[in-house]
Formats: sequence, structure tokens, C-alpha cells
Amino acid sequence: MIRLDGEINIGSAAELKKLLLQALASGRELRVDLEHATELDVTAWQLLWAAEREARGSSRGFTLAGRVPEEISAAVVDAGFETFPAGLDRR
Amino acid sequence: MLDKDKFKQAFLEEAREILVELESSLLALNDNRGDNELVGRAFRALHTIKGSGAMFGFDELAAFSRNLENAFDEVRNERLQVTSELINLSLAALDQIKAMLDEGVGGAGASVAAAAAEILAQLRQLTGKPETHAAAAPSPPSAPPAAASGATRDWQIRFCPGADLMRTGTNPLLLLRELRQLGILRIKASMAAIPSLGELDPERCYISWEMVLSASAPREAIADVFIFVADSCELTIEPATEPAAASAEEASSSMEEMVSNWWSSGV
Repeated sequence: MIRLDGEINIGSAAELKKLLLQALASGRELRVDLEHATELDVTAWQLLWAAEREARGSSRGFTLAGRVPEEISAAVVDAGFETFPAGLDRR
Repeated sequence: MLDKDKFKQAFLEEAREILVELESSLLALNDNRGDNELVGRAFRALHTIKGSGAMFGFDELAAFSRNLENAFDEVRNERLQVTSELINLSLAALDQIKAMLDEGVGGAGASVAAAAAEILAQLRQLTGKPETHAAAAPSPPSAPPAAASGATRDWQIRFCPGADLMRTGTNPLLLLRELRQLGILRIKASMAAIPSLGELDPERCYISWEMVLSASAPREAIADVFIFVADSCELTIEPATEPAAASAEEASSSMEEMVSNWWSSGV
């Protein structure tokens, strides 16, 4: 499982990419925990999007683990992501 | 890696250009006090300085400019008259903003802050309004998003960040947030350009956006939101006529289709 804490931005993008690639290579379901994240910038979202696509493509699945903070859900809606991330409660 | 200082430098340069424009608007306004076009120009210049200043961490400058912006909003809405006093005060404020920009480059502080307080006190007398402190908060009560000049209309906006946009320190989501302050924004992100995870350059923005903004703001006010990234993105802002709005719907549904096709073909 990949747990994202605090603000995830371009400064951590290269590291997040590495973690996601490792997680995909493990062959298990990809689980991402956003419960302790405060803000994700576009570099983080597009990495998660690409990872979600690849996880589904190889039928390993992509799951959001834990509760997603309201600020994060609101940011997803504000950014115009309509079907991503899957399983997000959009209110 | 990130060249924030370079970008800050670009902000300082552009801000100085905007100030030159603001100065000429104020001088022209002095000779032509009923000219709403000039009032609008001054308001937008201040709005841009405030918004971009806040974005680059010039909080004092943003807060200061905001008070002046509010005064011009009052003028725009015909609640405040253009007088010699207002013009003189605005010109003094303009010098003050210049001093604050210089300070941001490495000047000295206390005298600049005292002068700012003095100008704000005089502004307060003139407008009869308390000073506004918050720098980056959404519009003041006197200026709800759609309270600008003309009637509300729909603008079709396409924003496609270039390869180097992220590296300049820009946060596209903040630009979208600023755009949202102008009116009601319908927005759809296109993820179609995102490559496979392995090929993805983590420091580049691959997402682009299609938007329809319902606002009474003029085109320039919308373009101003993107003023500091104009060279590192593709941007189109067009009035959406009724049929175009319909085709925008079509366009977005075909975009959805494309994305969902990609999903299924990616298997």
C-alpha cells in the first residue's frame, strides 16, 4: 500500500513515480491511502491516474484505502476529474 | 530543478509592466473622469497584481493592492467618485507597490510599511470603508463574482499547459481556482495526453482543461488570470454562442468517450 502524507507536489513526484512502479511490479492490487494527505498537485494526480489505468489494465485493480479527506475530494471536483479516482465519494 | 526564483523574477518584471500601464490609466482617468473603460483597466491591473502577488508569496503587497482594488471596485459600481484625491492617493499607492516590489528583491522594510499604513488610512477616509486584511481570500462582499460591468455570458476556455509550465513553479490548480472567482465554472480535465507510468515525466503537466465560465467579466480579465504563464501554455478564450455551447457539450462527451475507449483498449 502507498500512503500519501501531507502535501504531495512536484518535489515528490519522482519518488511517487518510483513507488507506483514498484507497487505495480509487485503484481498485487494497487492500494493508495489518501487519508493523511492534505493537498495533491497535478503531478501527483496524473501519476495516480496513469497507475490506476495500468493497474486496471492488468486486472490487478486500484483501490483507495481509508477515508479520503473532504479537501481532497473537493479538489478533485474542482480540478474537473469526473471519473477519477474511481471509488471516490463525490459530494 | 525548480526555478522558482527565476519565475519570481518574471513576476517582478511583469508586475512592473502592469504598473506602468496602471500609471497611464490613472493619468488618463484624471483628465477624463467619467471613463469607465479606464476605471475597469485600473481595477484589472490591481486585481492582477493582487492575485499574482499572493501566488508568489508577496502577501503584504497582495493585501495592500487588494484595498486599492476594492476602492476601484466601488468606483466601477458607481459608489465612489473619481476625484483628484482618489487619483493622487492611487498614484501614491502605485509608488508604494513599486517600493514593495523592490523590497521583495532585497530592500529595507520599516519605512515602506509605515508609508503603506498611511496610504491605507487615507484610503479608508475616502471610501468610508474599513481596511481589508486578508490577502488571498475570495472576493470582498462588495464584489460578488458576477458583479462586474456587463451582462453574464459564457466563455469557452481551453487551457493546455506546455511542457515547461510546472518547472516554472506554477500550480495549474491555483490558476483554475482564481478563474473560479470570476464566475461559475464548469470544468472538465482531459487526461488523454498522460503517457504510460514508465514514460511519464514526473515534472511535466500532461493534463489539459476544457471549461465554460459564466461571468460578466471581460475577456481581458479572464486572460489576466493566465498572464504569467502565457508563454508556457496554449490558451483559447472564446465567447460561447448557443450552438457553440451545445458543441462544447458534444466535445466533452466525445472526450469522455475517447477516455473510456482508451480504458477498454488499454486492457
